[in-house]
Amino acid sequence: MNRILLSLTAMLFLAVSLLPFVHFSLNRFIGGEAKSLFSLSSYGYVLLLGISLLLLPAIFWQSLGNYRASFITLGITLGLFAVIFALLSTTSHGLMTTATPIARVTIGSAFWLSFVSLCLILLDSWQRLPRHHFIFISVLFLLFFLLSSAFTQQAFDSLSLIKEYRNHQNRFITALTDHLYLVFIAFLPTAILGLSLGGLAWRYPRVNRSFFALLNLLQTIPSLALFALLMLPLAWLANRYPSLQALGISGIGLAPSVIALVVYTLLPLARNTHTGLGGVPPDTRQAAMAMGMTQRQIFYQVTLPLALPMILSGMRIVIVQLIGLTVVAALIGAGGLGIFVWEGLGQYALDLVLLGALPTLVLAVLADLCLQGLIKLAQPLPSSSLDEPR
Amino acid sequence: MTYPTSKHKMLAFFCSFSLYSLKKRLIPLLLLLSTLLATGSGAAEPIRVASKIDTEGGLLGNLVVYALESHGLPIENKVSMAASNIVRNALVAGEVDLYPDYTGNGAFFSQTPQDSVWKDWKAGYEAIKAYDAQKHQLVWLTPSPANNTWAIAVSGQLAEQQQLKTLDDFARYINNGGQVKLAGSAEFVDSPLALPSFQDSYGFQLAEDQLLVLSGGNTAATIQAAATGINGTNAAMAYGTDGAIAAAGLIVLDDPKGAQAVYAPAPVVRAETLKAYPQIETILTPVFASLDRQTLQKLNEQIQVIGKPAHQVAKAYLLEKGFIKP
Repeated sequence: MNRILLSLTAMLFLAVSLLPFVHFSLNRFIGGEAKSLFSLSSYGYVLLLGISLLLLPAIFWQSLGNYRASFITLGITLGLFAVIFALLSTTSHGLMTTATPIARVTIGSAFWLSFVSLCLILLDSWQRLPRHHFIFISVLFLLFFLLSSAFTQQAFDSLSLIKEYRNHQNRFITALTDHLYLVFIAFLPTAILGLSLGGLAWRYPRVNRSFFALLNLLQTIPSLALFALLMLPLAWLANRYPSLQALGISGIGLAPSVIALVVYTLLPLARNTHTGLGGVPPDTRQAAMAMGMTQRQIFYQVTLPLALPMILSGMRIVIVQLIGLTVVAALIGAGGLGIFVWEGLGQYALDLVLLGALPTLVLAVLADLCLQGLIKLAQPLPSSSLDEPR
Repeated sequence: MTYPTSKHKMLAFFCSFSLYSLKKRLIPLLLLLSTLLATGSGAAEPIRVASKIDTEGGLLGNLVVYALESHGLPIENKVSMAASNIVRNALVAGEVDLYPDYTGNGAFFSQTPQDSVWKDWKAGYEAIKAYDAQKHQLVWLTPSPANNTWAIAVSGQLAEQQQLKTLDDFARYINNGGQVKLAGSAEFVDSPLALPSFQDSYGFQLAEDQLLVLSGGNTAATIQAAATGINGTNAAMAYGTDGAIAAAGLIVLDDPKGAQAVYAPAPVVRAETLKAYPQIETILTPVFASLDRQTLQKLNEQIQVIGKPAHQVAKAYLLEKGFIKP
């Protein structure tokens, strides 16, 4: 029996049968009327049937064998993905055909929960088949391709979320690139400073206590407050020294955002660098010294490679944090996906909030997955595989 | 579009930083020089038009941008830039050149919240105009004949049943033991200018259990609360020109005693910018003069309730009124 799959299947079943699949509201502002899947489409029962198919691998996992059960699960999951998106498209189109153009169809909790459960099922079978990364990566691409082609065929244009996207299409691309640009620009100084400060703290243990206390203190400042605090001194500097202004330093926008983002993300990287370097066993270094390696060789060929996974996981925290924190930077004029979040909150238009929040989430998850892969690659090989010729 | 250029400048800066650490000192110097030269030789400085990140901020900012652009003025669009106090600070610091604000906010800018001058459309405008001209070299252009002040809105059902039209009726209803629960932001409930001012003027008092305080809440959230009746809410803090009031089925109660400061929207521009482009005043004055309360409500409604982008609504309005040519 696969308990994880079993409980996820139960969650799927309950979500689809009990929770609203979409909400229908007469305009963008007033709250919607919850609609269950079965009140909208007779194919709702097909979805339930498909979900119950998952019980087969869930219950008979061991007797089917890990390999076969995983592939059966993968196949059913792919089918279910297709069904929930097809149902979303048809039900939303159905609701909008009889409604005024200002009516809105928002995605309900049954859809979101099913989507998340299906993703988790996919991840679960991925972890059970560790040697088949290629298949899962192609499955992800296939899903992405199918979704984007359905999207270009206007399959989801009746959804409020997509209406928000179409209305803000021009600004969306700018917001997305601004967001990525901010993350990138803030990452460079964080990487340089975080690595060197972490290294220094490791090299000179006397400073490290007060240093980390300071970084900890900086983390406790609320982000909007820090952004606002930086504004006045930077504006003053820019007015005083025109050459700084020419470099793009000003009290609003990029400069204060980047500084604040760097201040927030220094701690995880510096700390992980420090821990990673400190975690290298002294006897390993002694062995290297006994082999006649110089200090420089020991650092670059022994200490650093062994500390690398820890340092990379620091970078992973940094990047994911940067992607999230950049949303707040929109409040001080730096742009980014946060503009949709704040505008949406101001208008109580939750789909506009989602237009900012969902891509942020996807970016964070993608960055996280990529860095997890990198960390796996940087992991030192287990000692048994060192004996075999490579 | 100057954003890309400032990006390039930052990129150049950080590149020079990392190269410096590689002890190649010539390249960053050259990079620095080239960016300095590139920014030194520009044409006429564009007017940096900003606005607040709320619904009406997006509308007014876009109105200004399109109106000025159609007369051939160079514009740098920073509409819906940031939270309100940050936009104000940016103007004072000279980081932006123009943005629309409300005359009533003069009470906070000049730190004279108790002064009754803010409760009068004309006197309030003259007061903040004089203050900012002298203190910050800013010019307040003629405001709209509208008032986006704090107001109390009640559910249509309650208004009909109890015959509530003005705040006097509201006070009578409460003092007779009527059931009320009002949703408001923490600022609305606590600021002596807001709810306490209503209570003093009309002689009623809301107990703690008659308030639903949404800390950091905006009028969209409070109106939503009253419209859906969360926790028995049937009244809400609102703004005079809110676009969602009608859609939510709420009625704004009149304020015959003028308990609130007048918040008339007006363009605020740096004196230096106005000197360089004096036509700003003649272009924007008729546009803002056309924005009365009903017009602003209607335009805000198109953005907030129908979901049209603010720039589209602004452009359509200017075209319809003949302020710009197609």
